[in-house]
Amino acid sequence: MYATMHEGPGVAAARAMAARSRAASLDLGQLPVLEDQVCAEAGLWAPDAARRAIVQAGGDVPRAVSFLKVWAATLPHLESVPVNQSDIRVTRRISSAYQDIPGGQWLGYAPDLAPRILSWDDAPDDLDEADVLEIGGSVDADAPSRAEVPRVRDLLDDLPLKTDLDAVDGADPAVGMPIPPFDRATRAGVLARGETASLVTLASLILGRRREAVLAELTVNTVSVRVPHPRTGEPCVVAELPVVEADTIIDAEVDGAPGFAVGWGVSMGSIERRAISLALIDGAIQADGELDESIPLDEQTVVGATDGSSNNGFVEHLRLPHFASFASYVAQARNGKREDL
Amino acid sequence: VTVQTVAGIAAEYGRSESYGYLDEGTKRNIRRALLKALAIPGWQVPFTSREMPVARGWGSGGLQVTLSLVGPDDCVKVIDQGDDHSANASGMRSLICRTTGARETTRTAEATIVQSRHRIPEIELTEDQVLVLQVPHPEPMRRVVGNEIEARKRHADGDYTPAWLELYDDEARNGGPRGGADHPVLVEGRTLMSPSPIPRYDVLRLDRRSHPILLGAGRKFRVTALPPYTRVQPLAFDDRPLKSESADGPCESCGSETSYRVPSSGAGGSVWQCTDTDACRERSSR
Repeated sequence: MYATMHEGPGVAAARAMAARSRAASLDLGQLPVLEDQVCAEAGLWAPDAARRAIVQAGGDVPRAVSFLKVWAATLPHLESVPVNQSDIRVTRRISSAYQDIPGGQWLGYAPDLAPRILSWDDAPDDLDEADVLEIGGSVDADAPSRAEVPRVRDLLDDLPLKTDLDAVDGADPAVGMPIPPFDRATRAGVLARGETASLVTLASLILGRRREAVLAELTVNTVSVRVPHPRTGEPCVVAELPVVEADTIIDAEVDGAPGFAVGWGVSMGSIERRAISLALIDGAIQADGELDESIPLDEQTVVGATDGSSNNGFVEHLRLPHFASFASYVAQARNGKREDL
Repeated sequence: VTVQTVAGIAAEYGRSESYGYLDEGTKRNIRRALLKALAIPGWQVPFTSREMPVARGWGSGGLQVTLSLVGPDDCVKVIDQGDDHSANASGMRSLICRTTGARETTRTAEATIVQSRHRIPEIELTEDQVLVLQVPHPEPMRRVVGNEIEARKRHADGDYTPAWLELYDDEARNGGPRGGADHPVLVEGRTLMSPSPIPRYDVLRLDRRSHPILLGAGRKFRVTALPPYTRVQPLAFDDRPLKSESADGPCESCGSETSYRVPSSGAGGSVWQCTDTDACRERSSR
């Protein structure tokens, strides 16, 4: 079901999904987000192995990540073919830059809709499972493929834009750590395995210093990965995994006037703050070349950088609508462009 | 001597949470900070910003301000970008009304408290209404004076040279301020303040309003306030006044050519659309 970020049937469906996910965690003792995080940081999609690693590490996340990495290090590596756009199913899609986007917004599973209040009640939520299923529907049943959904960032084409579209294949960090300097694709691959809290901290430091930053598009997808068949060479699906992708729009100076840079980030799993952080870091590098603005290690910066609730909330607030304030910056950038003509 | 608290009385009557969600101590702290902020218009006053059931940066400051004011006779409107039905705004509105018994509304004229993110309602508020704004960055000089203590000294001295220099630099190189929303304002010609990321259209409507404006920045533990009829001017050179945003067409829904409009992709391609949904609806129904 497509919906805007408005209260309505779409939000009701998303709330039901959030409630269902919470109920599943309570009932089965599953920790799906933690498994996601361990897989993403290890650069290896293996939720069952991740669960095992988390238990054996006693819940120590860096140690669990290490278990997975050590396990994968000596396994054979198969080269996959680039993911086909039609092999990506979009299960959630939102934009904070525009009120309406071509193709519509699809809330999907939106954990923000559940209030952050600790429940002391051990009984499972009094949800009628049938009702929940009926409202929520199946997540993937009517999900369109990426090939059918236009890119929001393409709406920016008539604005002053800083772009670095190198289409080279990056080096694969799974087969060995690349040597700097990195091209953009390699950097994206290396950073996609970054530790979640570190990415969020960096992104939060960057975000606090920008004039403008919004999410052009954030999607949660199910992606089919193909490898060439050993005999026929035909690409065959060998794995299906969730992937979260974000495009950020950041203020940039284009030929001395206000304009934009588009940052991109993608991470395995569905932890959105990872993709948003990656896209913010990439956007800042697009905007400024190097991140040449020095971040001082003074007391206020150090104390601020370690405030997890503040950093996570701040980075994730990009999901909130920003169309009124974003339009204000766009109007300014357009004026500059018009006066040039 | 036993001191009876509202929370205590509530507990006696079997309520599991205190009136208005927050405990009385926190509410008192916020009210004191607000009184101080009203006494020094535009000044950033620290307060005990609690961890709220919405994430920091999601309106936790505005929510705490509203919860410290609201009573059972109030009528509350919460908007995000001018829209009552945005999921986060509607979540906060239900939390406020569920925990206080206040009425919910989407009509600006009916509300006693309007909590807003990034917009000031286009239907003018009256003396008996309160506007609460959610603020991400209370410090207007954050980009030019990175150090908070240094910034505070400058506020105390009324020395806003770095902000003026930034504006001069923008004018000289770009022919106008380079930012969009959140243009800094001078309060009573004295204190530089962030009006929150409202568009320039709204910044130009801040002067001498008949109702108080309370600004809460939960992530930064600060409140700021503008008492009624405060003089508020955008930071600008005398011969280079701040200009409002311009739109290329009237609103698709109500036809207004004077409202704040943003591009939107309607059925027939790109159109302009009001962001204040209540004002737009009022205009359409007239």
